[in-house]
Amino acid sequence: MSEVLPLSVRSLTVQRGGKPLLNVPDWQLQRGESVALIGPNGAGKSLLLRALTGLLDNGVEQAVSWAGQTPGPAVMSRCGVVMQQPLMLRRSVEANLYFALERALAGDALKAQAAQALHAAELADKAAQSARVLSGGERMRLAVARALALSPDCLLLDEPTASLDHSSARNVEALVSGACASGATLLLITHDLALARRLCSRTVLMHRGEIIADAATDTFFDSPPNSQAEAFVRGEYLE
Amino acid sequence: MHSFSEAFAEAASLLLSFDPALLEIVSLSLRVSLLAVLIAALIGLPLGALLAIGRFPGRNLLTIVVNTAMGLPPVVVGLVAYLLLSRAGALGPLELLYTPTAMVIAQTVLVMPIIAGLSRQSFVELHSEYREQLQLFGLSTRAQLKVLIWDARYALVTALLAGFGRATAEVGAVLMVGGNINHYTRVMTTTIAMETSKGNLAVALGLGMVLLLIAFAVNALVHSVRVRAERAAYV
Repeated sequence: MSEVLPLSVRSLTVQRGGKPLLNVPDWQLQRGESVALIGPNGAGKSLLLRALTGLLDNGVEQAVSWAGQTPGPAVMSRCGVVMQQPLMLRRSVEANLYFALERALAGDALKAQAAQALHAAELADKAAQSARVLSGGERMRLAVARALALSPDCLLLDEPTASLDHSSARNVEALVSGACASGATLLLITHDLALARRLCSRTVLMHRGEIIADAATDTFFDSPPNSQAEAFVRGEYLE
Repeated sequence: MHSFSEAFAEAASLLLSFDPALLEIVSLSLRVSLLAVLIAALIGLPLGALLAIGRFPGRNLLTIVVNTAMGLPPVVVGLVAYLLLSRAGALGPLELLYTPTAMVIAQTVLVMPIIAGLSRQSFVELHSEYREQLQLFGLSTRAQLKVLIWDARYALVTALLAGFGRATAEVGAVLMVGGNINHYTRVMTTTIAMETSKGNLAVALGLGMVLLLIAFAVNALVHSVRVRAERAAYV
């Protein structure tokens, strides 16, 4: 199986109605890194994630290279992606997990792995329920468990703890932290700066579609690399 | 002519006594319609999926054609099938005119667009919801299709039942290509039309009751499929 990392972005631009929404001339994500992507609402974080995962049309995918490959089925099958509003298939909770696992496992091994994943996501007692009636926190836990099911090389998460209660957020953090400890590369979009500091070794700040700061997390928060990063860490609006 | 109440009582007695002639007609009707729905499903479901998910030139035109064909008048279908199957027609050498096979062909033509059109709509709705997530799972188009078929299963069953309802109720097409031949191509709808014209209301009413019962059963099934899907939050 070929590698999907490092991830490189070159000359990535997205415009809508003549207005630039994303402009990333050069950016990399190395294997084994855990990177927090932060920035104000509308900065272009989710749009960047959509570009990285091949969800944008118009040739945008040509600017994205996953170890030489454009984002497509071969790459995405090695990535675990959770969007802000994760979609639950019209199936039971455990069937949603089976779906992710059956690409690599079958029979008892599949069931055992699903049971373990449900237990880790604290959803074992809801295995037979429809996934469509889960609460927001439960949905996110299931979505993260589903994304992690096949030990992906790279995890791409868009605000996985937003609107979650404390225990759900802690569970999601534990799942992600465990995946990172096992060697998964992480790109985490979040507004929770404390979470970014706990989980990520590198922090990237976006504003108006551009990456305006990129530094080791400790450096980013203790001695911000520029005035805008400093202002963002202080909780001020960016110019 | 019998009075309506006498005819009704006689019809009920025919039904309750499981009259062999009546059973033969009901049985042929069901066999023809079920086979037509099966064949129509084999063509209509993939066609519905293709129209919903596929990207090819002429897709919009084909969608309009299928939607138009959902309301095909049975007599027109019967006429076209008759022309094709008659001795001078393109399929004349097969000698299928006035056989149950001809009736199956005519009903398939009637039902297939209904199944294709309704399933296309279900696939379109589900695909617009699932598309990005399935892409993020890294699934091929074929694998995505499997997911869509399974998760649209309740809606697809409803489409099949709608097709079956249409097949059992139509009279024009089967009359023209089947010929209403006793013990061979005589089905419920053609018998009702014939017996009514002969003034034999009891048999017509009896078969009418069976038809109504089938329509009721199909609707009850559609309803229970919907309720079951809603209860299980699969909608």
